[in-house]
Amino acid sequence: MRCRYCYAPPHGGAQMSLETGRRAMELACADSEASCGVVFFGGEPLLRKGLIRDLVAYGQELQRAGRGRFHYKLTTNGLALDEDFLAFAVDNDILIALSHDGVQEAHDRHRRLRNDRASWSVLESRLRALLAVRPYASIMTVVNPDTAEHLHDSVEYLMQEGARYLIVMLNYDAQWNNASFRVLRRQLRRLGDSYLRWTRADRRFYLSPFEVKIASHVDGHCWQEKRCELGRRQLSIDPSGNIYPCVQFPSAGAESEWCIGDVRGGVDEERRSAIHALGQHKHDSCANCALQKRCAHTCGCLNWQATGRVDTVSPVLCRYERSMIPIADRVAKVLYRERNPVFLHKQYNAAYPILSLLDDGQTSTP
Amino acid sequence: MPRRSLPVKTRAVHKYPTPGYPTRPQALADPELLAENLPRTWRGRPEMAGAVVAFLALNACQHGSSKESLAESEVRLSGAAAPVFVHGEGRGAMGCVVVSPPAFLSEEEALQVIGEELEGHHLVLTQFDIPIEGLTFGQKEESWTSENGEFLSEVFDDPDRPAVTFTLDRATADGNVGVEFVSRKDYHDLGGPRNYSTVQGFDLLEISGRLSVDLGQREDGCYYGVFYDPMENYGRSNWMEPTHQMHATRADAKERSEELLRLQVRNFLTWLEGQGVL
Repeated sequence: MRCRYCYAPPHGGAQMSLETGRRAMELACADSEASCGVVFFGGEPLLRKGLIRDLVAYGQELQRAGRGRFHYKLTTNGLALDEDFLAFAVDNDILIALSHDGVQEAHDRHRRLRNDRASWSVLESRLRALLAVRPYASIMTVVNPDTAEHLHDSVEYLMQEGARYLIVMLNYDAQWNNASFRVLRRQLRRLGDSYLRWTRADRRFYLSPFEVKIASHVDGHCWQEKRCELGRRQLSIDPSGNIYPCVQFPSAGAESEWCIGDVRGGVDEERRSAIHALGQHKHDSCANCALQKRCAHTCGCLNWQATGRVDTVSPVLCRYERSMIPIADRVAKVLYRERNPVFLHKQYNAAYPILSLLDDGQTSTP
Repeated sequence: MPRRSLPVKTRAVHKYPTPGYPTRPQALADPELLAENLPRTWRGRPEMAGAVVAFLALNACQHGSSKESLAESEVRLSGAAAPVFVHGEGRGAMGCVVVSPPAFLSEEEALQVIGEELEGHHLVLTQFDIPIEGLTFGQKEESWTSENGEFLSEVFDDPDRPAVTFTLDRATADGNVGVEFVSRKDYHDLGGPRNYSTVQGFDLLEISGRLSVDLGQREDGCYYGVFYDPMENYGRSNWMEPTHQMHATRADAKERSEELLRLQVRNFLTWLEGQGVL
């Protein structure tokens, strides 16, 4: 595909070798006894199904030898998602996140095939097949200024198709302005009204902008600790084996300041610490902001994508947070006052995901 | 990486109310909150209820929750009231010697203006005449005395009239934004003194300011806007003026009042944006 907002477009067709993948996994489990998450992303990882199968097999081998534990996730555009791979994913507990922008008008605006043909209609059957075996598969929707007007209908469409775990993200790099934000805010309000309706109807779902912002209050300072720490919690590895602090940075290239090592020589800890320190930078513009503890302004990766600097807050993010937090709080306040059981358990009962699965008899993980 | 400037800007939100729902420790301090509110499909299934009880017991062990701790950390539903934005005098008098009386806006006229402005920002006022429990106004009376040729005003409690519970004009469906238009009709109910002489004065601006302060202290999660009738005058220069001309002049004054009221509401919307509500 040639998605217009892709932050990892193809670079000369470079492909990761099995050897590089294996070294990456060895490196990942070298210093930790905890289960290590391996995320296959691209480009499009399902163009390399064979490599994925080989690496999962290698992970099992390492695990049997007591050299590491792994869990897996894969982010895909869905075009190459077939029954065979779905069965493999279910057998090996690979979580699948599908990029899908919702209704056709929104999806086909940016998610184009290589020959510029639209991709929505091709995906319909893939989406249904995925949700049939993985109802809690993440569906990742990107919102652009020119698709904001479809946001509510897109989420509603995906919910109607059976999606239960929706992650809505803004394209922070796009040309947002006050007019497009007004459209977005209206859509978020509509989404808030639907969130109320769906919750009152006992539907089980996770809708990221709402859940995340409600959690930022419910879990207070713990929520701060869960946020991304640039270069610490996750590393990204490009096809050649170069290591970067987050998924956005491989596009900067191995010669850039963001390359912090390679799978053969390991991580340059000095460089990693320097980047992490940059990400911890206290932003003057946020010093007096009442929302700073609930806001994602400390996400260096996102700031870099939008402003070109890790230590400069994205104005788009700031505007989004100022819009989204009051809308999420309004929804949560209404449901709390109603003592809505689904809301109460979803937000306050840590065992809710498990109990929810027990309740609906599903076997996938929310 | 090439960057371009973006037309939206970073801006600190200087004041944001405490959300109207509890944090996790606050919620779990009341074990009954979850135990007594099971999702519909969990009810009648002992294993689900048992799992909830087990979770709560585990949580209680970890955090030592108790009813006392709930009392200490009880959720305070925050709220705020905008200051009264001054556009128009909001003061005047009616009576025999007044030659330039104010053209009062009716509640309906004013709420129409307020509703139009708010709906432009997607705030729809669907709740009407909401009693605000605990906010009451004692009734006042004003009398005039003459001393050494000077008229002095004295305001005292009206013993014959019980205090009036405040009723908010309009609010959004979720109760997040509420508005009150302080009209001539509201003046006495909100503690403006009654005058039984031939001249009745109105200070809607002052009354509105007091109401705004009272509402701001409620912390009930609502963002209040208090507006007042600008009370533009429609003085007649010539008492022999035909009646139809007088009406035209009064209509002009009301039109000016409506425009001033619009400015009040627009200031309120800017304030709401600053609060992060819009």
